[in-house]
Amino acid sequence: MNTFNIIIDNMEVPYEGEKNLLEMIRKANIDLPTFCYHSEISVYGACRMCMVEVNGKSTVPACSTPVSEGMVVKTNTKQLRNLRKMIVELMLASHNQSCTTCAKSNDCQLQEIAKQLGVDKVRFKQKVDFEPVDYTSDAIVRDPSKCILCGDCVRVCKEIQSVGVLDFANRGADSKIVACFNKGMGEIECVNCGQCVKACPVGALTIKSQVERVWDALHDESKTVVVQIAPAIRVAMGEAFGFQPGTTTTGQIVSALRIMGFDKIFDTSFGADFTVIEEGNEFIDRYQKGIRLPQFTSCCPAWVKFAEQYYPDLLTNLSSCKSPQQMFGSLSKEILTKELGISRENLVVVSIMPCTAKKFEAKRKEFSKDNNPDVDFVLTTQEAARMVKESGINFSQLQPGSFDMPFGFKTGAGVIFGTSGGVSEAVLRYAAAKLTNDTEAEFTQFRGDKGVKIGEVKVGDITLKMAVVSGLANARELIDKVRAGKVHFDLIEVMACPGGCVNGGGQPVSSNRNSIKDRSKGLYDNDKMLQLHCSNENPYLQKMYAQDLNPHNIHEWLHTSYVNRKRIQHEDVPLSEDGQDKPLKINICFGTSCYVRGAQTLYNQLMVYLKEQGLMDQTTISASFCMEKCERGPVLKVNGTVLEHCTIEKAIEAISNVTCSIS
Amino acid sequence: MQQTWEKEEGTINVIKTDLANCMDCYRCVRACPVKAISVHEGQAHVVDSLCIQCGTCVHECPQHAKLIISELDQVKALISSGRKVVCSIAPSFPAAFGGWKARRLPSALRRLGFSHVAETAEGADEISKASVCALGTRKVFTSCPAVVNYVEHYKPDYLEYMVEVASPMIAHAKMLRDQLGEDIDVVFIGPCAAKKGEAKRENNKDLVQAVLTFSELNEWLEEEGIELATCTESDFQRKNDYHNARLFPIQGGMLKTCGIEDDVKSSDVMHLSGSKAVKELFSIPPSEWNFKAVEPLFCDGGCIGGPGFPKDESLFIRQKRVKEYVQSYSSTDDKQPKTSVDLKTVFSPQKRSLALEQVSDEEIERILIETGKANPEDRLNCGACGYNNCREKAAAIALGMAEASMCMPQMKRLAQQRMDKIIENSPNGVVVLDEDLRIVHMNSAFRKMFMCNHHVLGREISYLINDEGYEKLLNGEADSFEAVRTKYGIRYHEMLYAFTNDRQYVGFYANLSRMKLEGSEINLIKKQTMEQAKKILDHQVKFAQDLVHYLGTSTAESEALVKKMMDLYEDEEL
Repeated sequence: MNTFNIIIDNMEVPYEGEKNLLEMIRKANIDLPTFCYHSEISVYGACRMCMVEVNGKSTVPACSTPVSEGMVVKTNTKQLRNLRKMIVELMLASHNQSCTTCAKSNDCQLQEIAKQLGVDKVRFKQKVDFEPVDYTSDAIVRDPSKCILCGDCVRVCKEIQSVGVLDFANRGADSKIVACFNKGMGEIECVNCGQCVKACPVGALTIKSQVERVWDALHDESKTVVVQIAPAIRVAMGEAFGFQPGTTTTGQIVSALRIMGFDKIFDTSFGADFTVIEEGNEFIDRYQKGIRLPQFTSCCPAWVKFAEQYYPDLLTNLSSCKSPQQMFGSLSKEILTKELGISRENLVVVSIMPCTAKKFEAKRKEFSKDNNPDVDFVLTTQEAARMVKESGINFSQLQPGSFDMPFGFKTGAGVIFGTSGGVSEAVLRYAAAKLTNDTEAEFTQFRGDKGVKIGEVKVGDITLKMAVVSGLANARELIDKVRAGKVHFDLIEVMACPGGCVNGGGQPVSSNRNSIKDRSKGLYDNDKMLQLHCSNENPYLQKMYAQDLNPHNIHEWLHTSYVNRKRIQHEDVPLSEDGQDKPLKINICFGTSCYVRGAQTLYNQLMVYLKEQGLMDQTTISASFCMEKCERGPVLKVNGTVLEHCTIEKAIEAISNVTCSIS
Repeated sequence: MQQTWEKEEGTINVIKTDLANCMDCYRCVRACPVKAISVHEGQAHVVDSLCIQCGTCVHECPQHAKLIISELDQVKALISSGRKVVCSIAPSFPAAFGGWKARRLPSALRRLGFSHVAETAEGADEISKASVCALGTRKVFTSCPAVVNYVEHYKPDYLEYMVEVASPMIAHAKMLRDQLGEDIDVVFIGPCAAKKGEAKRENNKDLVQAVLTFSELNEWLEEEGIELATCTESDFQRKNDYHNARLFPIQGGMLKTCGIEDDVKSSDVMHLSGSKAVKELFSIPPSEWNFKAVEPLFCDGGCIGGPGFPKDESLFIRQKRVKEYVQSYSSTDDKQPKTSVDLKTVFSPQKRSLALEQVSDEEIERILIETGKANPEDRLNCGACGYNNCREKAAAIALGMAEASMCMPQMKRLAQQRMDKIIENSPNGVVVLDEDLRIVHMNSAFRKMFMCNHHVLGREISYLINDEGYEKLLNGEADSFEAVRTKYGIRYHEMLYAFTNDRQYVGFYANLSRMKLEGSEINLIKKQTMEQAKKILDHQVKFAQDLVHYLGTSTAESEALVKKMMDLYEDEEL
């Protein structure tokens, strides 16, 4: 590497391989404002806040300018100051300045930078006609009136998560950010991870709040309100009250929630201990039988939706276990209601999660019974902190409180779920305990903040191939390799957010670069502090398995199934006379791929056959537009049986099977 | 910090003196229940072979000069060595870390690096079962190592009444080794100084690697920045009620755990605590011990009154916290594994290097006479020296444990005499005024200089000389005042000081008219004289304030100064 110094604002600054001029300037302790620069995503250069003067001549954006020898940089000339101020003024003029009521107020970078630059008036006419707010998503609210077009959300969604549901539309002054097909965030392939919310410097993308619903429940005398706290909350919530990232404030959180009026305060880690046992048993069983491997973890709802959308063929490889939140939800609605002698409707389960996707998860129809959800409301860490502040509670001075039992008891294994690698470590501990009776075995190789962690682990006589990924783009890359047969694993842990739940979309916004690492460390410290580290040692859990659970309700309460989320959500098009009760139901895919592969010919042959056989009266025929099996078309469904690479012969065989059984 | 008192061969030392802080107040000598403290050159040291390690001196010392020797560094080294270090924490811990802190302490201990964190109550439970078998044959039920030390050193005749069962610490260490294997290090944490000694006893060798006090633990937590408020709630390795063995640190707790009926009405079962009660118990002839069981604990209130607590809190609060914690364990969910470890122990008489009672009466009389106490009325038996009476102190002098200068009344008398002499003989005039500027005291030089006698006592100073300077001091305009004046044909230099605390004023007068030297030399001498005068004055004031305290060295210094000043005047007069 070339070593040389450059001059920044009369200071000599040594070049140490910085990837751009902005990093050099920040190293020199000059806090150049930016909206669109994030070191973990690509450089875009949209906001023009980091403009600097180089060699007295050119004015360039520092973020997208490489460092070269002999540079003399000025960051604060009169011209630059005026430029920056004017950009902010222009932003403010087209920004819906309802700051006091904005969810992002106080965490807003536009507010911050306007203050930093001393912008005290806006010389341009205020824009008033704004596009409406998008409330369609269960997790994320998008308010185009606040958007400053920095494009951070676009790049995070595309680059970190490989989902890419947001993009720029139109040009010039008409530019705007839209969700794909100009639909609502709740109607598209958004996985609700909330990373865009974290990246958004203003209030254009915010968390969909359920704070008021929770207050209503708390104020309702007829309801018993219980709350569960996710592992990652305890090491992050303190940040909203002046604690360093990673400081455990479990006791203070419990006390605050009790003051606010929650009847019972429990720990999601208790649910996580169940997840470890169920997922561990499932894995050991699959491993021993050699089926449905690799097994994917299923705790992360954003990853589950991602898999449902893009890897429906691998859904059988996902663990059938519910996430800790949902295991907790169903156990409390099934067992706690009996203990307390109240109905499902009168038990309100609130969960506090680091995650926006958990809001979506709690609303999945799989997780409710008689229209009553297992988990009624999901608050993010940010929302919970806001409720504490609203209550006027002096959080940092609270005397630490205690969880209620039994749902508040957990082992260290249930706590490390909140960080990438934690689920794997917990499952390995259980596997070691079950297979080799060793409850003290340590598996620390999947710790750390890397996006992809791969390794082999010996448990007793067997060697397991494991992968731990966080960030869905990393997941996609790895799964594509698995699908292509290039790599093989036995167990793959996927967390949508980089670093795991500690970096969830609902966590406090932190300017501290090490906050994610510190939060992870905090969780491992929590594990170390607890007396038990292996989920099967949890005495309350053992008691519940012995007294309340049996194979039937374990299946119902702790396991779930997944749906293939078709990319096209149209209803099937009926091709025959109406009448739903006909015994033979045929559905043919007319998607482009199937059409190209001969769906039309197949349809024609089928119609001829049905007429010949006189089956038309007994048949409902409909057309579908995609069954997500494009490469195996044409695809035909006969009474629910899917026929891939379908020919008329295969179809006739399937139809006669049905007609035989009818007659 | 240094320890100059030599360690005796073959003894275990638990308490050291911080010499920088030790200010010959003799409070430790007074407090020591066995008079195991020796004073050398005004500083107090523990005589290890006499010490029963109760730690009384540690919490009595107002200067914090008596310290329980810290083993924190050893424990840190054990942990950083990567070995499996197991912690056994005494059941008195809620007295130091009570309420919500109690449930977070296990977490904090794990964060410090202990791999297994257990309660000594586990051992206490076991030894209770073993002890109860001795009922009927032995009477003294105690886990208190200070009581054991006391009996072994001072009351060996009573050893045959002691129940010879290991203490909970030792029992627990053996049990932990039984459960976890021999390849562990055990660290006991408790409120007790004597436990440090107990762990080092020959028959307990290699069982407990180090003993920390709660104060040391607290210090360690602070160093590591571990706050209990931000530790997660957790339990010790076992969740068991240990048959109430967590009550051991409270007086009567052991008998309760043993199931020995403790009815307040019953005269059969006794429990007592505090050094006074323990000494009384062992001064009653065993033939008069008409009870079947007694539980003596050396510290007031039991272990909750131990010297190893980080904060001074009342025994009521400590007892309440321990009881609350005991109540929080109501069930015996956890199965206690049967232990097969040997819980027997042996107590044996211990030799002392010195003994006050062995000094002969003649020797004591001789020393009493030597120290100015020939007359029985001079033997005040005031106890200011720390000893119970003048004879005991004389015996201590005979053994080289005490110094003559420790006698306050005697020293005060001496000091007064010398002080008066110095002031009286000063070549400069000295006068002391009260708050109304009336003369209270003056020396002969002053009388001579201003030609007056004791009739002026009680009159205002203005009657004699210009009082402008004193007025200034009186009005608070200055703390000191200096001027050169002429009166009665004498040119004199006056230096005046206000002692606001005592509401007194002191004037210091040097006669300048007798000086016939060249200008510069005069100035020099004047300056020197004044400096000397100031110094002596400072000394004299200190004398007045703390007469006895500075007697030894300060008197000598003052005398030297006076001598020097006289020499100066003599030079001048040549």
